[in-house]
Amino acid sequence: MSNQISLQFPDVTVQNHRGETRKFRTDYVTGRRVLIGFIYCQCDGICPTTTKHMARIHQVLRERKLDFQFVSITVTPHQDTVRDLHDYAEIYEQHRWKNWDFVRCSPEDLKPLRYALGAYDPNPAIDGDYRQHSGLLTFGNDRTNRWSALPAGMNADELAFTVLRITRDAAKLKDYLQS
Amino acid sequence: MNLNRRNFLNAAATAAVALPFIKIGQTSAYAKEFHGFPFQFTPFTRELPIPQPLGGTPLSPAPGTPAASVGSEAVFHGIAPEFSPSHPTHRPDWDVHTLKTHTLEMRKAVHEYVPGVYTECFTYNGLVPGPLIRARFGQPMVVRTTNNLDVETSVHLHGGHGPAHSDGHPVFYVMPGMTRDYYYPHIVPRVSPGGAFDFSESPSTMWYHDHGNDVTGHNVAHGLAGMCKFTDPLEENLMSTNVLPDADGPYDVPLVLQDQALNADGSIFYDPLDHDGRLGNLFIANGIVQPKFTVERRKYRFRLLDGATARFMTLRLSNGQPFLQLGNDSWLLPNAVWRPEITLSMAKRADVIIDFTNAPDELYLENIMQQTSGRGPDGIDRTKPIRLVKFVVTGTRPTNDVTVTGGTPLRPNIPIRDSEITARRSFRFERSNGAWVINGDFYSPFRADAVPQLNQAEEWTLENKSGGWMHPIHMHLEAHQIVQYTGKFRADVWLNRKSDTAILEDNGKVRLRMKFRTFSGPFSFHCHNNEHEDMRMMKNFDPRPAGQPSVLNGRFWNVPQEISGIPLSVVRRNPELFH
Ligand SMILES: [Cu+2]
Repeated sequence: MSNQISLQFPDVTVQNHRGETRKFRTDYVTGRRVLIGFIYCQCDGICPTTTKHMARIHQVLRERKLDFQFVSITVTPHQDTVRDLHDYAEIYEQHRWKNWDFVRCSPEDLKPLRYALGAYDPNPAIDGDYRQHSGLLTFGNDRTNRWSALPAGMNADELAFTVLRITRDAAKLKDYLQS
Repeated sequence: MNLNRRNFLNAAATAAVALPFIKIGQTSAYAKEFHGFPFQFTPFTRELPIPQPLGGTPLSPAPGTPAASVGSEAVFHGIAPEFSPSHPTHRPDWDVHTLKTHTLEMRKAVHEYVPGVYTECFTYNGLVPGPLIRARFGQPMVVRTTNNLDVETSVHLHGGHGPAHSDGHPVFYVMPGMTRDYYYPHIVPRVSPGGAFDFSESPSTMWYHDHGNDVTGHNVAHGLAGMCKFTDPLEENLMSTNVLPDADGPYDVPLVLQDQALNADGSIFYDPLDHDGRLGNLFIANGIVQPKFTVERRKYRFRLLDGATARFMTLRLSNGQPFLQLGNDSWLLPNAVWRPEITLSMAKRADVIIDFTNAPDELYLENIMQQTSGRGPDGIDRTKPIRLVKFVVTGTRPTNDVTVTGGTPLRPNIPIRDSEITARRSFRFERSNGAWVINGDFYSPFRADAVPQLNQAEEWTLENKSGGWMHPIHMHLEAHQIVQYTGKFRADVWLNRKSDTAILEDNGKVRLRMKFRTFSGPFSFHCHNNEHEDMRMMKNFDPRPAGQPSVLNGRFWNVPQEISGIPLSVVRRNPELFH
């Protein structure tokens, strides 16, 4: 794939659920395998499924001993504090994993970040309503420059396997089977 | 491509590093920008390339032998079980002619869409579009297809009637570095089980393109598409009696119409995180931007294909003369019909005659459909034509031109009658948090969403409730016949005639009838906006004899490896590769 897709991701400053400051592209994406989802702490709609399915994918990637980074971005940074994100991670017991950050960015940075990651709706009424936010998981491997996105609500095992296929390092079947 | 989104990315770029992207469609004057910004070129100077037929190649090891079966070193993905003459589906009357064999290699190659701009593409045998597949009724074909790209592929013959193994099911991949024998029996459905072939069902204009799971848009945008001409005795008779031009002569021209977007360095611009549908600002015909075609003062047959991933087109001729439409999608119509304008969605074809006998010395094929978003077209604007191909007409009229004209009988059409319908199904297409659901479900390659009884007819109702989006729905395996259509493109819908791609408009409804003959599946039906398809706007159907369950029951490892072409030992060890 010809152009480096990750260069379209803005390198915005984010805070994770541990209160640490990170640069989105530099710290989470550059040279890595990454999976990104969108949530908000008060959500009782699709976010619980998104997070549960991410947990299942996380487990499959851990079992394979692969390097990877997960990022859950809140779509309500105006109301979700670091503390809220920490509590949210704790509910889902994901706070223990070093390679899964629940993050907030400044409200102004959110829209460019969402659009760059493909998590938007061309209908402004839907796009402007955080309760109808994107239920996609965006994932890729910056080393191979291969990216894709799929609905977080799909069958979790099929999602996990698809993430493995698309983010694999060795493209050729024989190289993969030998690696 | 969504223009708002592009503006956001550009805004992000100024804050970060310089992006390699060109800024496509930044202004609302999108349709005016088609002259290939940022490249300087003079349109209509290069002659239209004509795809040449794929030549024959002897295959070793021979197809169907143990050395070429699934899991083998030579042909890892094997061949369809129906290739074997002892397979119960394979009847002796299939093989009217001897087997033709070919090789096809998917590989990167440098291609010149724009003069002087060298673009690395994905190609079939180094060509964009791919070589012409020349098929004849009753002449079986094996295309030994090798994937030397770094991404999964799957080849679909669009309009074909063939085995599931060779149909390009999204996860019946040709894995990178591997080979699959695609077997095309080139037969047609029968009038009744065990009865005579139904030549009203013979296709004429098919095309082939990539169908890999989650990567179709990417692979097609990079070049993986080609045309296929099919003739049967009926159509060969129309040619030998000079009603239609010879399919193998200079007056029968495949014309693949696409849009394209390039980066400033000439590489293909493809954003895998644009899920609306990709639009380009370069208009491509048979692989090059805005060519000219020098024609004689006579009738030509053009097999027009909208081969774009997300762009609708309304075609007309600049001098106001009509097309003589011969066929819709893969099939000839009962009679030739004059049409001043023809609207095509992605994947749809119009088989037409353009009569240059009394044409001016120069005229253009034009697109008057405006489109600025992958959601669907904005509408026709007859004051803003986009010129696609310039025709330069030369010479004097021949004395022996083909005789086809308005009303000329072509191929009989047999409507599917009410009394034949044995099952009804309905499918509701909706948007769900940025993705697509059909009847509430996300796609799974391993779930049979419909198991029609083999050799029966069904009536399906497709309904679009996705809120502002258009979805051309393509059904594999057989022609369908639309019996009821709601939407503004009604004038372009051939009710009770054969088609393979039905436009499902915003709030639109399509009621269609379809038979499920000869082959058990799995087969798919899906949106042909390739980015929607990659976001899995798709379902599977699997025709089976009464009482027989589908081979799809939730897990890949339940699909017999002969059907999928993926060795089960590898699937069990590495299931992640085949999802
Ligand atoms: Cu669609």
